[in-house]
Amino acid sequence: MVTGGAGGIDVATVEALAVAGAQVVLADVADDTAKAAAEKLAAQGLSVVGHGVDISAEASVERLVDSPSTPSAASTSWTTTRR
Amino acid sequence: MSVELWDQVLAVNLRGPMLLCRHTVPVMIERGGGSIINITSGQGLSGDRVMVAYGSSKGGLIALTRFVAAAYGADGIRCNAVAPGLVRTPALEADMPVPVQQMFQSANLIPRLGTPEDVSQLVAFLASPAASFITGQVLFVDGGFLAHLPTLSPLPPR
Repeated sequence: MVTGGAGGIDVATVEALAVAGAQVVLADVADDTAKAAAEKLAAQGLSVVGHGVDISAEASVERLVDSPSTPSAASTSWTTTRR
Repeated sequence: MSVELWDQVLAVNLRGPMLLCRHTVPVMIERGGGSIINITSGQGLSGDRVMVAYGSSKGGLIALTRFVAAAYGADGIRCNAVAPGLVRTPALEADMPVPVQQMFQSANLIPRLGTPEDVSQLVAFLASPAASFITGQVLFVDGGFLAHLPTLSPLPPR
């Protein structure tokens, strides 16, 4: 699971994890941005699904973790972009 | 800086990772372990005259990293922080004037800015079993930006 996943560093991180064989959930604050970024990587044959999340809101984080599209929480990374 | 900005930055950069830990750690414990990698910043460890909320949030994130590592190591959960230097991304190109980028570069021992891949390769390593004895650490991927004395910056030509 990579949050902030549609950003420059984060897309590269999603790709590195997926190339290494992980099933990756790419989460970002805008659902459509997350899904578009995920679909671009999935089109290359990588296992990536997109998901919207507002990490500052507990209910939103719960929905992300409980989502059926979240295959595993065995490995998690997140970055934040708010300055 | 407004109090509203402070609260907003802390909510995303520090409450966010805390909430993610709070809700993924139980799943990780159930599955026998996991690896959490928080992206922090050199500004979490060194002072500046701007972006105090950002720096404070990233310093707090380093503390959160160590607390999670301490609490759940026995459950097979590792928690580390990665501190990138200035990384060339589309967001950076849009937000930061080139002379400021050059100021950062002139303080890097490796004379270039970072790439997204510099960071992603370290994150992938920390997420892998090859890093199974590494926890509670802050790993810098910054071209040596914070590894030298301030008197060496900007780096003189050799």
